[in-house]
Amino acid sequence: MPIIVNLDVMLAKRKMMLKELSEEVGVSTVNLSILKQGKVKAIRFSTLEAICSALDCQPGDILEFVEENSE
Amino acid sequence: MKFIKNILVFIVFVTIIQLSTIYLSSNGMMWIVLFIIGFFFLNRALRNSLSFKNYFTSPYNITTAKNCIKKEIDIPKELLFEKLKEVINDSNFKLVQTDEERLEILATTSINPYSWGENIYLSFESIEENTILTIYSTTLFQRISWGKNKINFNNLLKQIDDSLTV
Repeated sequence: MPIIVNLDVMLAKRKMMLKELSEEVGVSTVNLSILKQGKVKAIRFSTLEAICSALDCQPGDILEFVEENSE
Repeated sequence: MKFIKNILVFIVFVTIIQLSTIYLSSNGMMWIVLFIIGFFFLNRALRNSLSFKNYFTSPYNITTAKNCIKKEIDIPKELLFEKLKEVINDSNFKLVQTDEERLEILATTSINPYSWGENIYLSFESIEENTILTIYSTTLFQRISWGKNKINFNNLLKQIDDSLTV
């Protein structure tokens, strides 16, 4: 998929566990794990806002567009 | 509420027994009625355990109507197993039992105008990074499901799909 989710990178930068983020954001760890793997169908603005707020980052730090044919 | 439902079912069957003793003159018919009622209660008692999955889904069990579908989902099976527990908890289905080792889930539906309730068995099989989700829906005690099994599939698949928006 051309949209890459860099949630694990941001978690590592902030030295935060998925469970802590889950508690702070109010989204289950299962859903965050699925999001981390880029397997979700869509992400709500409210979820994105809560994650950005918890990780003190911008949406672009979490989501990245990479063209499919690029190496 | 569930307790009242069970009492109502019990009253209906006691009434049937009473009426059958009045209207059915031969003892043979009486025993057949009692056997059918006993079989119903046996199925009701066995429905809440994953151990009896084969009993309900077996093609030799002529007292149940069963349907099965398989769907490939691009989520690893362990994660999908946890996800489906959440989905079922948030749905109209009742999560009855899970098997963490064999990755199996048993959910049930309540009594409705079309059936005595259905059992839904979920199992997971890995294919590379994806998972083949197998859903069995069986009636509790009737040969025709009146479309309830298919409705269960559609509801569950829609809820899985909806839950993938976080």
